This record gives sequence, C-alpha cells and structure tokens, in this order.
Amino acid sequence: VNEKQLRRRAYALREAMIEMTPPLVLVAEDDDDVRRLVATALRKDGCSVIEAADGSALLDHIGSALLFGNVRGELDPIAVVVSDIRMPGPSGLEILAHLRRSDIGVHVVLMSAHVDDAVRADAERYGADALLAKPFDIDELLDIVRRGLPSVGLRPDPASASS
Amino acid sequence: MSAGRTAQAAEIASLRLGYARSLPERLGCLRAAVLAWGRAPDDGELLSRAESLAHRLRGTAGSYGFAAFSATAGAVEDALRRCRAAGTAGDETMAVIALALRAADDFALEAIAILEAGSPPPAGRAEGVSTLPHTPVEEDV
Repeated sequence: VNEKQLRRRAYALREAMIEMTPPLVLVAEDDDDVRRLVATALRKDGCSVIEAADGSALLDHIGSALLFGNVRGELDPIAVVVSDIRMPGPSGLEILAHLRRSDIGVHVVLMSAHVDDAVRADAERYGADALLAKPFDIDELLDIVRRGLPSVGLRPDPASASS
Repeated sequence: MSAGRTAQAAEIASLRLGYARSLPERLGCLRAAVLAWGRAPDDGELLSRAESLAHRLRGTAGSYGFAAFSATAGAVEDALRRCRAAGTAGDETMAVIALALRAADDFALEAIAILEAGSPPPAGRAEGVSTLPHTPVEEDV
C-alpha cells in the first residue's frame, strides 16, 4: 500500500466520520424552560445540541463551532440555528443578518412571541428559513429542524442518541 | 412506536410533568405581581413585571402543551395591556384577571393530576393538558 492509497483511505474515513457525526444544532433562548424543552427534544431526535441563554453566547458558540468544525475539515459544521428573536444581547434577527452577511451556510429557525407583519418581513428579508410563533408545538419545531438537516438518511436513530 | 420514540416521549413527558408541577408556584408569583400592581396602579414597573410574568407563562406553558393554561395566562396578559393602554385599572378588568387566575389554578392542578396518573387526557376533558397541536390562543402582539 503506497502513501497515496493511505491518504485516500484516511480521507474517505474522515468523510465517513463527518457524515456519521450527529448534526449540530445551536439553540438560543433566554427562557430556561423553553430552551430545556427544545434542546431535550432535539437531543432525543438524534441531534447534538449546544445551548445559549442569550445572543452573545450564541455568537460565541457559532464562532467556536465554525472554528473547530473547519479544523476537522467540515465545510458546514453547524446544521441548524434555532433562536429566539428577543433575548439579551444581539437579537435573533441581528444574528441572522450577521450569518447571511458572512455567507455562513446554516439553516436558521427563529422563534418569537411577538410575530407580526413587521417581524415576518424582517425574518424574510434577512433570510430566515422558518419563523415559529410562541407558543409552538414541539413536534412542529422538530419537523422544521429535520427539514433543515443535511443528509437526513445518515442521521442516527434516536434510540442510539445518548445526549 | 420504536424504542427511541418511546424514550423520547418519556423524556418529554417527564419535562412536562416537572413544568406542570412548577405552575402553581409560577401562578403564585403572577398573582402576587398583579396584587402588588393593584395596590399601586400608577407604578409602571409593577405593571411591566406582571405583564412580563403573564407573557412568559402564556408562551412557555403553551409550548409545553398546556393550551388552556396558556390561554388563561394570555387573557391576564391582554387585560394588563388594556389597563396600560387605558392608563387605569378598571374594576371590570381586575375581575377578568381574577377569574382567569382562578381558572389557571384549576388547569394547573388538573394537568398535574393527569400527568402524574401517566395516562393521556380523555377526550373532551383535561383542558389544562392538550394534546399537540394546542388550541390557538389570542393573537400575540
């Protein structure tokens, strides 16, 4: 086996490992109860979830996930961002605008208890993939997130998801 | 239902039960906030606190599947907003708030009892525990 073949095998193995990694979902919500519900449901659905209690923490987590994901060779390490619109620090809309300006490929689901025409227009203008009015049905949120996940067929069975 | 789905449902059910058990205390906080504002109706901060608590209960309880409870919390929030708009706390509005809080108490107790029994609510009963999707509450503003 020559060096070229070894490299090819290592690359294929890395690609396979990346594909088998549970999709990473970042959840930002300042209401602990809602965040816990959303994060638990997503984890049990086979996702890897990082929680943020405000906009600043979400931005930090986005930066870290992109940095370490890219180091591992992942082009789009964050599958989905689920974010409240109104929360301390940068709002969900501001973070969405930042993501789109930076051309970061990520599916963004916004949540708000104050959904009106202006919020809908802003969400659409900034390129949100979905806007969910609170209170929402957790199954509806899971469906929306699943639609945003890449390589759905490779997602682990929820039974094997431990976190 | 697969083992994974069963585990998922059990985890969510456990979260819902925990949240349901916290509802009486949360309602107590809301009631105390409304009473405090009722004693000092000119205090905008007290009104904001009561509004905020009602608003949060409306959204969070609804997302946990407690539709009727969410609707009653929403009625309190809407009444408080009307008071803010009118610049006064009318007797009629305060009566609406008191009624809604009593109804929310009942819904919370019913929800806890049903979830602790571990059985789904029978059709047409258990307004506090709705199977999803929940019944819509008044439009959020």
